[in-house]
Amino acid sequence: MTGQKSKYTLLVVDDSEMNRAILAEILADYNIVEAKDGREAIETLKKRRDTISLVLLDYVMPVMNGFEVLKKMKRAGMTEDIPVIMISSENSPSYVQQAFELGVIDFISRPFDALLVQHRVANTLQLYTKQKKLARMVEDQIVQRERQSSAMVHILSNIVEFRNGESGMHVLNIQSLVKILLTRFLKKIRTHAFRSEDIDCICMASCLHDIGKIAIPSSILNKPGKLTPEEYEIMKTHSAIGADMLSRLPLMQDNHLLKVAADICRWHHERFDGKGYPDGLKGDEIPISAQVVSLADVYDALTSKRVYKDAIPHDKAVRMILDGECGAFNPKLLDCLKEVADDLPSLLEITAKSLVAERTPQADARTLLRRTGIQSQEHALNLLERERTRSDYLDAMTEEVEFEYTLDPPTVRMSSWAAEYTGWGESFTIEQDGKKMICGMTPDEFFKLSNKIKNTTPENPAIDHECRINVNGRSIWARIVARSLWSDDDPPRYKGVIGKMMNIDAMKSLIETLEYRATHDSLTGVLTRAAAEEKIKTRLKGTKTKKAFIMLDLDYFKQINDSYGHAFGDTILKRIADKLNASVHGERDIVARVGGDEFFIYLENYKDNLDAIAGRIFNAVTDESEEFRLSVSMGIAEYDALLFKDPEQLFLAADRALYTAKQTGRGKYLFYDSSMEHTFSNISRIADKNLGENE
Amino acid sequence: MNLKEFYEKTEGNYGSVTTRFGGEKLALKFTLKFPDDPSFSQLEKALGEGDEESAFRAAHTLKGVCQNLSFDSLYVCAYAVCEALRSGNMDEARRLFPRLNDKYVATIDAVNQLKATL
Repeated sequence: MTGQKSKYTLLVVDDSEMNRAILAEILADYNIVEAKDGREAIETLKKRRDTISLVLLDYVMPVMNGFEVLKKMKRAGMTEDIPVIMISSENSPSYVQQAFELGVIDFISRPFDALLVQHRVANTLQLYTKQKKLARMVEDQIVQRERQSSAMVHILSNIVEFRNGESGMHVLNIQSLVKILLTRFLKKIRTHAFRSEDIDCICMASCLHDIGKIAIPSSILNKPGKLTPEEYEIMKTHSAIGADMLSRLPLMQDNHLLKVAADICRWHHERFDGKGYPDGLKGDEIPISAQVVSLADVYDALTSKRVYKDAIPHDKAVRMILDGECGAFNPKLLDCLKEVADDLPSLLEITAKSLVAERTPQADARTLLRRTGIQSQEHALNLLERERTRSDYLDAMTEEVEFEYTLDPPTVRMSSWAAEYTGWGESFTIEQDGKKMICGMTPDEFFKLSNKIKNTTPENPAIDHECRINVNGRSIWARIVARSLWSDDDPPRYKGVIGKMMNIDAMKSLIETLEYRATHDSLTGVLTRAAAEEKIKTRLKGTKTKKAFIMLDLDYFKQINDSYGHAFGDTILKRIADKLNASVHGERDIVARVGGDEFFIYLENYKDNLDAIAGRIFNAVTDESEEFRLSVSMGIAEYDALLFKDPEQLFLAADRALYTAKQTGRGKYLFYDSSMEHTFSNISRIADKNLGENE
Repeated sequence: MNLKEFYEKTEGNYGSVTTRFGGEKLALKFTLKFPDDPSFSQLEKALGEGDEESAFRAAHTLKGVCQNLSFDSLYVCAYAVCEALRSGNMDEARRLFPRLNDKYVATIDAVNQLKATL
């Protein structure tokens, strides 16, 4: 008996003792358990389900025949993880077909060959062990994918909130409201087409309802006053843009969550009476997901405090919605709102708390798997089955390359589509000579990957690796998810790797673009104030290097806008940003637009004297050779341990210097000195002005 | 008598059984155990009692064992009885049984001779 095989226990089911004895003898390398009829077999399987690795099943038996055993096993879900080999002298095609339909993995007809039985058993065991490993891997990947998409959702919604200047509360409130209303709605309509995980999905997807706002100029988005009709038209495009963005996301083609999110984006400004935008859908033409989010959005807008309005109390907001003052909604949904109205504030609080608890992505994926009502392992196996039967066409759709690497011989294998996609062939050996590219990777990159694999253990076999890979002469960002395979020996031997390579190029660049858009002013391309402050925060801490702030404000901007139009005003702002960028040290210094016609520059570790730098910037912006000469005012503050307690005061100081320059005639630049300590800050003046306009 | 001679005498297929079992060892072991297999006596009993279902199962099992051991001529006789019972023809089975009985007795005799010469 070899140590490896004896690990497996086989159940031999045959009513003839002679036949059982023959099989036991042939399979003497394994642990053999015998059953003399179908009922005994089922009893044994129930008792020892975890230890039995394979069943050899006869057909004609007293009490319960082979097919009945199979049916019972199938009903109990046993055929999913215990392979059954049928042994019989019956071999008519219809009989064999029925056996396969009932889930047997292989069929051996009498009289059997000892060697054949040994091989079939060994192969089946190996296949199932591998399949189980693969199943676990697929399962991990599902969890990973869910984690990824929920993480993605949060990243995206954070970007929008960040840019809208909203707190996370807005999204959380909408989510909670959606959950409350939908749960109520579900009870009311009693349909089977809708399940609790749909609620969770809509709830999660609702985070993204305003994602399209990322494409709206921040001057419109964050405009404190009322929007002009033109601006309102631009604002309205955010719903279609959002849906478009989501449907173009790579790797997410078949992602249900993002599909739901795209629906919500596009249609959360539709009205039940057909007077909404962008498509003027009417009644139930609007998906229920979008209807609910729309209602939740209105309620949240009413009850939240905005720069231009106070928060409306809960009961008044509900009354306004029910009276039809804030749009047209599905009467059934309004009923739901009416029913929960009294408890809404407390319900919101409870729901928000539970949602925050669920936000840990791991919980999301696990509960999702649990809620499907089937064992995750089984679920994974079903998916695996789908995966296995998936055609090359679908492979191509998802751009996923599945591969297998065996150590002996050191060979990589992949599907024909994958072979064509990568240009590496369906089967090839890996040769490391330290110079050549290996699998589209530089030797260094390949070394990093193989090192990760080398560091796996049978307990921790999975790796997740991102790198650039060259496929067919094209360099892409790839994510490789793989696991090492180990023998059953003691100690286990490393046997190879199975895994997947995904093209995450588009996803990477999309995220980069989104992040760029979120941190940069859409008009001038320089950093937004918030993004710049974030960047400066840590750099400001040190007191050793030279640091300075320059605040710059365009004089008479309002007059320029009034006399030449906004479009011209915009070109002027762009010109200033370009000049500023050109006159500072690109990597070291930071230029940002504070808002309106105001910019700031943060300088650090500069070689020249600050006076010279300030003069250069001032002259560049007010360039006399330009056809339209600009007048600007600048305030400058340089860090000086005697003058400032800490560098964070620089911003305020520069602002005071600017204010003083403005007060004393404009068109000049001033350095901060202690005499300006008590002037009004420009920042507070902006705040005051904004409040005044909105009142 | 050696195993090969036993198979010749009982009109079995020595070549097939030794190939399938990878040599003589297993074939010999199970040939010697053949008399312990209860399926023949079960068949005889069930036919006497008119228990069609048990008779079919017993005949089927006997057929399977013969097949495994390459007792070809006994297999042919068991096969005929088994098929008659499968189609529910008790009379036909009873008509075919004596032929199987003779062959079975002859096989058991031969096994005993084989056992004696070892």
